[in-house]
Amino acid sequence: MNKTLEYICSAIFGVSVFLFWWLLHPGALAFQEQNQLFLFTMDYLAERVAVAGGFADYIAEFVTQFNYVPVLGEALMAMLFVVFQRSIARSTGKDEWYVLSFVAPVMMLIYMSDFYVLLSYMVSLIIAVQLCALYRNHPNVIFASAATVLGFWLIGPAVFVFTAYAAFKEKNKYSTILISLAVAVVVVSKLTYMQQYPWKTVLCGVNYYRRAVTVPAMQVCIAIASVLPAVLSGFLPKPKAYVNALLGFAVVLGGVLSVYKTHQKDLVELIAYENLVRNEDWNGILKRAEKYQPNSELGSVSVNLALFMSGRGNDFPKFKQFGTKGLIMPRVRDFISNSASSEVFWRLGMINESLRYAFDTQESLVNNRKSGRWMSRIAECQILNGRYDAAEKYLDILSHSLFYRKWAEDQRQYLRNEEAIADNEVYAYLKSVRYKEDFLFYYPEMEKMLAKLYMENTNNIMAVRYYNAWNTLDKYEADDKNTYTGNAHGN
Amino acid sequence: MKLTIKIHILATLTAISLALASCGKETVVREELPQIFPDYIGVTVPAGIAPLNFDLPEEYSKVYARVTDNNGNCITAKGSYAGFNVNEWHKLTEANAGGTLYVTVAGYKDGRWEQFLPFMIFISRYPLEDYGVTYRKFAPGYETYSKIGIYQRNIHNFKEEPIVEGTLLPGQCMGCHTANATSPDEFLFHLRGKHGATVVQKDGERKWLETKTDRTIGRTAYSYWHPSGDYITHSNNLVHQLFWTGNNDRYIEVYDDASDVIVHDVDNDEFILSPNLMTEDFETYPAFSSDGKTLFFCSAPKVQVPAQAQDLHYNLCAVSFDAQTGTVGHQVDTLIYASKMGKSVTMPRPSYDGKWILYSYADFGCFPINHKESDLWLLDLEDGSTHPLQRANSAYCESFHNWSSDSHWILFASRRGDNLYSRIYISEIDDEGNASKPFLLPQRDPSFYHKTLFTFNVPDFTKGKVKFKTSAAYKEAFSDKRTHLTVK
Repeated sequence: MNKTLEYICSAIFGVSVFLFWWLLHPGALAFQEQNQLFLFTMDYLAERVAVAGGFADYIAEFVTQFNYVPVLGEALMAMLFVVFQRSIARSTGKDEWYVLSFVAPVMMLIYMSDFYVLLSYMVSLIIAVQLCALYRNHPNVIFASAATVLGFWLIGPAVFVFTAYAAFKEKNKYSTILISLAVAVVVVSKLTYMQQYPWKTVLCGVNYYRRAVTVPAMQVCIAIASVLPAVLSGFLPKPKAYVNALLGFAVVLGGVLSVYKTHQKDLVELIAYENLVRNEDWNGILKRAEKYQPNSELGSVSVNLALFMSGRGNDFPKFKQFGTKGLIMPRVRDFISNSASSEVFWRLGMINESLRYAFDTQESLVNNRKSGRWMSRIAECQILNGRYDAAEKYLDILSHSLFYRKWAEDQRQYLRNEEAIADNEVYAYLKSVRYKEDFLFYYPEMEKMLAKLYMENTNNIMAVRYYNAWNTLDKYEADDKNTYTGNAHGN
Repeated sequence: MKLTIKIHILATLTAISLALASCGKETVVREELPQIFPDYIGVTVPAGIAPLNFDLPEEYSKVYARVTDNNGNCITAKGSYAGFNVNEWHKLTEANAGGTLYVTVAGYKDGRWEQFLPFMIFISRYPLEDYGVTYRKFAPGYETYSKIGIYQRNIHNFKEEPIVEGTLLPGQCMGCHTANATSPDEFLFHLRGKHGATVVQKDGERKWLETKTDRTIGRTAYSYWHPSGDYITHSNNLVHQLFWTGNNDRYIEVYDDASDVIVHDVDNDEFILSPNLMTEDFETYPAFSSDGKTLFFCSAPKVQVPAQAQDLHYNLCAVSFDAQTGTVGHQVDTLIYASKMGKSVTMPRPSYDGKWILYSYADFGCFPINHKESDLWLLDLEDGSTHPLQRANSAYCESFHNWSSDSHWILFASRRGDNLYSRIYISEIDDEGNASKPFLLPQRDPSFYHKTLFTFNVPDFTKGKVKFKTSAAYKEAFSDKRTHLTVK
């Protein structure tokens, strides 16, 4: 394959990746950004590199923070995928089987539509494959040994892609040495700085998958597919043009079919809502919901919030409903289910409940990360609660980030300054509509709590909207009509 | 003595002024004490504790501190905060046990040094020879913790290390680390979640216990070792928590639907039940006396919860215990009738010398960490008198307290820092039961407490370093192989 055609293919692949995120998974990358908080501090770096693979994770989180601006994130992601593909191509040292270099990136693209997959895995593989390319040009067993040991610390077990390649290339006693070294580095790591991780996690990576003890088969397959072109390049004869064409067709067809088969429309919509709620794009949510009705309680929470916030409450019956849980979810221990409900509470003036849901959403990040979005909300709630020292702590942390810094600096004016709070439209309103009397929140009595909220301040229009909606849906639930569908006709 | 102090302060001020003047900058002397963080002004510390590093407010870019004693010895620190050399600090404090150190501080601001009035740090005559402290760390919030772990910290330097972290046992919540009178060899912790267990480690061997039986109301919760190590007393609690809606400086209310107290025969894996500890009322927070002959616990008259959660008032009670036969006595005595006063007494912690019980005193409820008004009180076991530890308490919550192995020091968690994050404070208790001004557990970088997103929970002293083998822990936890306790 000539160079120009290679570049064209890579460019087309990059554009496809961009479109994949932009059109098929809107908000997915922003959701990833929401689930981490990259800080420009030495403590943050130290915390990352304290575990195997932490350096790759640091780079990945640095890149992921740009998903705050979704188009920028999608463009960066496209570039990274092209870098991954080009790295694999480079590792083969031959242009004839260029098409094989697309296999692993296409698999990775499909794999990453699972929001538990972290970018750090691809970053690690890029570095591992680059090591293969380096080794191919400068084979040296000392380099291979050093790269295995240091690489494990920097990028985690993905480095064994390189170790396997180098061992395969050596085909002598050094192969055994390299493999022994790989085993030794895992054992030593586990017994020293990785004592607080299970063996499985040490062996398969701390930061490749959000739930570290889970190792999806796809993760292993992609690792193999990343190094296979480099391994095979020495054996395979130069392919005929039609073979390349057929292979290219197979990769494209396989990719498209896989994307189609793995596409979970309901989940995609939930994630899309998530980003739209975050940006208060109520019309955006309703537009999506009109095209594809929400199919879960969680989706319904976002759609109903959009209805009430956009003043289209009368359209409530047009959308598929899922009972009262579709207005406000009871607490669920994960990092998505309570997010829209936290936003509902915030707009209702139920500050402590918004705080609780925001806190629990942040703390549900199973890879122990913090969230810029939720930390901001927690800080806002603490400002409203007058816990300024706690709010200041969060604002100070957010000040070390790229995209939350300005907001955090601006929020400092409200610390210990009741006048400034009174001058802020949102804060002043929320302070005026929140509960005056202190009592214990009890989800089964939400209807009464909404009524009380409204009775304590009749300016709280959201409270009366939610009260009415709750009443309506509760009545249907009581009548054993599990799903109130209004006039919606499903999808 | 006063003259000595004055001479000493004058000499120090002169020395510092000269030292700072030699930098070619004008020095302003301010007639006030420095606003240092942590507030170590006038605290009493044990010799050999980690250096009390501190900082000035943000507007001071540099800090200079000089610590001197009455014998002319001195150490200094200069930098973005006052960080002392560990060895020099130890040498100075150990040479001044029972004496006083004088600290003069200057801060650099707007191109000049500002020097403050010196303050004193008292070095206790009681040594604190325990290795360190253990505690649990997690984000202070509601029902979910992304990272949780039990840690130990050497209090003579700044070294912290995990005993067990959530990363090793993912998805499982870890309960309190409970040692037998600060012993590193006998301890337990509860694991909650799908693979829950009570992990008991005694003399290097550990058991993974299933503590739910058909004759008890739930799994064990708050535990306390018998000094012999042969028994552990637990509470069984049906714990719930609800959340306050208003802006009244409180967020969470933890309460029990039901609770009992039981005794666990460690070697025979059996529970000893007593009707006196399993009544209709709510019995909880058991603790053995230092001689092992008495079992203290808290008991509240039953009310309808959560509706009457604010009417939950716990009394401090005691019942005899015979370790030879493993039997609980029949006569229950009420030591503090708190419910009569509309108050609630919880978390009794007997001193290991048998003189005192340290407890939490709050308006109501069984979980004082969420009660801003919660204070520490001391009960004199000889004459039955009780009093608040005024110098140790603050306007914020104090709870989760315990004793050092020699019973001259207490540690506790307090939210006085920012009303949300609990931090560990240590205070000396003198022979009359008076507490000194407590000091915050020192950190190398004083800004640590502002930066950290962890709260320090259930601290305890530990005589030595706790050893917990992590290599097999994951397999043991997730295998679900449990020793089932039975009722004797």
